[in-house]
Amino acid sequence: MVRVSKPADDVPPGVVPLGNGRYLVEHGSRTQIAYAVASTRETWVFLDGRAYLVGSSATIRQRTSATDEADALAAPMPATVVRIEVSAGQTVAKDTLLVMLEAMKMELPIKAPRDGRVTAIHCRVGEIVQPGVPLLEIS
Amino acid sequence: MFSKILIANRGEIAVRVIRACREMGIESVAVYSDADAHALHTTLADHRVRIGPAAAAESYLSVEKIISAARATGAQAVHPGYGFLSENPDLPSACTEAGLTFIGPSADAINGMGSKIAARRLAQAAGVPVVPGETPADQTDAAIADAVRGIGFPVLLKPSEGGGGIGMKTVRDEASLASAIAQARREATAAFGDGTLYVERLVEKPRHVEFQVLGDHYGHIVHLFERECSIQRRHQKVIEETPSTALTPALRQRMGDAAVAVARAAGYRNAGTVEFLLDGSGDAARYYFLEMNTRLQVEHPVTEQVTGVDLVRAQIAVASGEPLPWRQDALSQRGHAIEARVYAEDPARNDLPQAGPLLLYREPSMPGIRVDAGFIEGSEVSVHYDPLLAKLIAWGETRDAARRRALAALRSYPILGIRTNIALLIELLEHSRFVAGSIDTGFLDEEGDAIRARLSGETPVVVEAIAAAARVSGRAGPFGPADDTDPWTSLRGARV
Repeated sequence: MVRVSKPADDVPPGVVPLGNGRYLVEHGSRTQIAYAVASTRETWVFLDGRAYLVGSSATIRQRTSATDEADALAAPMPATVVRIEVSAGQTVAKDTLLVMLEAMKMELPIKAPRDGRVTAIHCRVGEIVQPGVPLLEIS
Repeated sequence: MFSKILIANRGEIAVRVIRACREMGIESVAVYSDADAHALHTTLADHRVRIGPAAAAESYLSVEKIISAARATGAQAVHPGYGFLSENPDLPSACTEAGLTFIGPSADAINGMGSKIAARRLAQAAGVPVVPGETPADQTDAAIADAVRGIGFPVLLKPSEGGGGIGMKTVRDEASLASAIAQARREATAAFGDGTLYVERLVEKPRHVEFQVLGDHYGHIVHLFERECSIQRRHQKVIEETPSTALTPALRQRMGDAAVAVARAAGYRNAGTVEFLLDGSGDAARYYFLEMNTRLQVEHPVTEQVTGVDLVRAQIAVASGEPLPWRQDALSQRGHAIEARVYAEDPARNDLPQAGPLLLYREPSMPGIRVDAGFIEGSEVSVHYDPLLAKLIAWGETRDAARRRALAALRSYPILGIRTNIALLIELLEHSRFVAGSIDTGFLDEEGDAIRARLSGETPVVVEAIAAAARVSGRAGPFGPADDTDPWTSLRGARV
């Protein structure tokens, strides 16, 4: 599955983790409190009286793509591709930043899940990508 | 007063009784099945006794195991809660044999109300109306027609031997009477081999209104007003409130007197509930005795919120031999209370019960809100028992104030890990018919599909964003340590 690790400096501006499962959602000056719990398989979100179960990119990809799961990397949510940091054929180490996505004023780094070689890139900068659609492949 | 009470139940009601014991300086004994070894009620009580495997029949429904647990721990009394053994006369009988006090009515009173036919006769003898109906001894068409006119239109013609709604005919006027009798008789004969007909008044769009009663060992019986429980599905209540929007002071007094009369006729003591079917509203409404529940009700907190009476405490006091501390005229209703039952079920999938861990569970805390829950964050909701997670009770000076408080609280009541009906409860409390108080027992059948349709739909993009943030920052979940690169975590303990 896609591991989106988080360095200390990329706390997203639109959604701020407050700790202990609480999140501050900012829309300009308007704020809301949300709650969320992520497991390896899925993420539960509570916002304004509604609970949502959001599948992880891995489970969504199982439903929507025939590509070999271990090698395909996909967006966790509808997002815009802002940067592609690698090119086809490039060897990458685990946790190398591959693609930077953006959604809801929030950056979503897609990193290499392990050491490998980029075999194909399926997205381009500026493209709006959907969850489950592979962005690139690593052998 | 007792010094130790065993609670023969689980979930929120066991927790409710344990808390009452603690306030009163009484030690509590929890019983638990293997599925509940770490349940809230098990861990909250002063003592706990394992009574068997997860299956209720081999644990919470075993009179023998309850009695031996009480003996082993030296408990003097047994509180049955609701459900399980609470309306089984074998438990009070076994308690008496074992020298224990059963916190509830006598076995005789439970037996008397256990049969619907016997309860109906008892209410009639006490002068309390029941839904008019009879099986005419003379089964000729002319005699059936006379019986129908005596009861008054609209009526239901039912096969006397029938059940499940088969062969029932509604008759609204004289013009269709003859053909309806002939048709009902044909269908009854075809379905049950017996054309005998039962004639019953049809109560259209009835409300379910019940009265709380409480009696002591000295013949004092009071009622603590009504609860409106018309919002139900498949006979399971979802939202209850008091006062009922359908009652006037005069009607309330008549129904309250009727409830006390039924309880008196049954030789009732301790807490009980007299259920009525209400036809119409206001002074002209007609009410009919349905049945008596010989136990504490799930929805008892709404009564507690408007009367200021702690019903569980009163149950314990009365069972220990204390007289009722108040007369009828000392009791009054203040404000309005609404209870919303939070179930572990999926409204989008035919209310399918849900089991699993409560990964995140935070109760709202705000003025006028009470939550009676059987679970806390980290609890496991088991497949073995009732899916009731909690009851959220809102009190307000007016009905609308209570309703708005309930809505605000439900919107701040995150439960994650399993699906619940909270979004459905919000839709119900916002529904124009609920707001107007124009509800009857058919409400959820009529409006349910439209309400459920509003619950499905696309996941908003903002929710995807929150989920993505949670995957980034909260992989450890609310229990484990947060990612140590999280700046919010690393700020903790820092001196500013």
